[in-house]
Amino acid sequence: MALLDVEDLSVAYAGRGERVLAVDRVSLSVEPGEVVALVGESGSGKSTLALALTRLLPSPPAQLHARYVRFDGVDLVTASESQLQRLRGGRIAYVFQDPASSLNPVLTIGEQLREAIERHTDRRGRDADTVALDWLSRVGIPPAQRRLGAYPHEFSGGMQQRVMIAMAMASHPQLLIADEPTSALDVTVQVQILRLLRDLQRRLGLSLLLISHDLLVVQRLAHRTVVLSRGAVVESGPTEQVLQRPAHPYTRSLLEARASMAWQAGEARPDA
Amino acid sequence: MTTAPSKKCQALFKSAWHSNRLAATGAAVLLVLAAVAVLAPWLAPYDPLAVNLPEALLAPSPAHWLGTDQLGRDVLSRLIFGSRISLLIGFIAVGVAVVVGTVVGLLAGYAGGRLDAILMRVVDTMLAFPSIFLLLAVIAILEPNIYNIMAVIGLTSWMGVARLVRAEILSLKEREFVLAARALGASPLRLMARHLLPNAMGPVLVAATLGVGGAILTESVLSYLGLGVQPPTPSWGNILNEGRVALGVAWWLTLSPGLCILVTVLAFNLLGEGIRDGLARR
Amino acid sequence: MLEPVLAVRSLGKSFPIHGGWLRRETSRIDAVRDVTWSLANGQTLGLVGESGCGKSTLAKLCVGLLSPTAGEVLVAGQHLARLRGAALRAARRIVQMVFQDPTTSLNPRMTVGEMLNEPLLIHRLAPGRAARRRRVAELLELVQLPAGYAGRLPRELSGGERQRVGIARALAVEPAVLICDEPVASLDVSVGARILELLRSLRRRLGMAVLFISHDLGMVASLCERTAVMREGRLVELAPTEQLLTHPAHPYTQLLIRASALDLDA
Repeated sequence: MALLDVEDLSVAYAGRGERVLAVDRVSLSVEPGEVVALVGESGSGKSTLALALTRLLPSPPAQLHARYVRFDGVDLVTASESQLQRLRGGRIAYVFQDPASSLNPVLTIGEQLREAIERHTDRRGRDADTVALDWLSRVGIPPAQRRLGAYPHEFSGGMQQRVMIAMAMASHPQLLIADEPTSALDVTVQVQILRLLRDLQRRLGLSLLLISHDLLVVQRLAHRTVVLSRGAVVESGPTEQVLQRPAHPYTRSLLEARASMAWQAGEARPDA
Repeated sequence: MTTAPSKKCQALFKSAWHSNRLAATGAAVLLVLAAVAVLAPWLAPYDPLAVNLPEALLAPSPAHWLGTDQLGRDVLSRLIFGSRISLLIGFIAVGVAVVVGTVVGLLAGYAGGRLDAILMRVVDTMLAFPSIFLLLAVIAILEPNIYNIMAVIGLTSWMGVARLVRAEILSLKEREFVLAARALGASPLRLMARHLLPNAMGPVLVAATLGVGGAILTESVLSYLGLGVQPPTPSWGNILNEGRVALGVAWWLTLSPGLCILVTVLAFNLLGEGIRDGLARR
Repeated sequence: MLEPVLAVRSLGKSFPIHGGWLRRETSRIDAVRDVTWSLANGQTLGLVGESGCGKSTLAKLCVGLLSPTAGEVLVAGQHLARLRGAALRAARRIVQMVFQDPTTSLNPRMTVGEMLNEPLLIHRLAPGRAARRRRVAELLELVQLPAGYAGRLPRELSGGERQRVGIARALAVEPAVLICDEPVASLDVSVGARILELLRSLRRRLGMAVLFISHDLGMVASLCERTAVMREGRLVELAPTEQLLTHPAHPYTQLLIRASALDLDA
């Protein structure tokens, strides 16, 4: 049974007289231990979709409709708010793009980690701190920087993102939803974070819903890829197939665009 | 040819009403007020300066909608003419404050360094004075005519504008479009006039709108203390002041100017808030 | 050997840090350290580096938005920092820049036409209203925007269109060198690809030299004959692009190449 099974999810915004569909009848699924990538440009609805899965969108402006959004058998569309709160940050965890704005600047990372751990596991106090330190080491933060009393601004962008991942992982989630987790980072740091995500995913059998605009990231990490354009799925399938033998013209245009902007040694040089 | 602009006006009003009812209400009230002030000679039923002692302190009646004061003058007519004074003082005083404050803020923000430091210390010093005492002291030295009052209120309230403008300029200075203009070779004058100032005026507009209400209130306070517009010229503040002594017997002498001031300041505040919301939404 | 149209020699820029309660200068940050390279007419040079490497500071130094604290910027052989008045204006016609964020690089209160007119006014090009209007139309056509866009405000344009206006504005003075500082970083991939294609075709058509700055090694490599790598303010390696990618000399360059390929197993 799929861990996450979404059927016909739509998110509409009622503007002044108009109704805009940010997400248009999207269906997708994520199996346990699988990495599924959601690819799209700005305005494709990928981030809206990610938030809609656990009903994180503020509901008066946003209207959610779906046949079902099943997580481990439970339909999230009809679940109660308290059920959802238990899932969010617990069995379904999020990592967002900009760690600087996802971390609370006035709390130490220790306080933020402890909050996450105490909320979703049964460890408390000093015990929770031990778990926190353990996770900081597992996400690759060097011993010198593993201070729970440190504030987010004392870390570099890459380190902050590792802290975010630690916070997300501390509750042993089954599904990690990562929305452009490395787009704000330098490429050398990107490699490290992606490697971390891949290793965690493999070692813990984590399911990962990876949202990205970067086809190279998708190629490296995802088993399956779903391509979104203007809120609707235009293509989906095994990553290799989607990227090497794209069926839909939009996918093809994305690939061509990327190819025209990059040059690897050995290729024919585009006329400069 | 004339239908196009009026259609645009209509559309503008419609969108303004829908997007921002509070601001539109404020604006509507102020338009009515402005009309009253302009059309005062035609609207006022009586001569505001006409003394008529036999008819003194009459309660509101069909003949005198808002009653009469101690000298038998019609209160409604005095209020109508008083609106001219209050609005005039409000606008001119704020005008002075905005001009002085903008120049100071622009120079401080653009130049930075020493000039900025000096100008800001001047601002801080002036802000440290309790403005009301400054106002009273200056008015007591000069004579309390309308021009002095406008100038003094303006010259004691420019500091807030200066700080606002300076803050906007400081943040605008580093924006890429300003850098682009500098890279193109734009002179400091061009930068200030074309790029910095137009983009800094949003918050200033809001502050100015709110400031008019404040200036009207300040004038009322001055009049209340006898240092505002001198009788017999009617201003809302001095009508209020004159009504003070007869409060027990003639409540209409204090209530009506008080309400006028209240409604006007409220309308300006709504308009100011509305503009601020509108700018934020853009 | 032709004189380079743009050159930097031992260029350095440091910024003071103010600390203590009197806000005195406590130390300095070296944003750019001892950088030397030159660009001849019509050449393309790419500048690659990660955040904080000083590439944007370098760009600003080259257009005179910042003054060097060490070394010099030479525009057509002249020391940029020493120029004033008319000479400085003349230098500004030689080197121009396209900025990264199309949302903030255009004045929200000026129309496209006014923004393209401004450089013409500043440098007294195309004298006369009719001549300027013609030139503005030419510039719009150059960046493949409809002539009717002259009356539009930036908020009525898409990201890609705004960036085209930014390019047109820089080209209005017919610069010999166009510096592009991360010109497509804020744009979607497909929009960015079209902008890059535009830049390529403009270069072919107008023949100007291009200094292309980006964190994206692949992008820089696809556009530039030579590539320079910057790290922490220093120039780490400078070589013909092909050579840099196939036989990188410096370990950081090697790291960057592997990272750009997102080689997770390296």
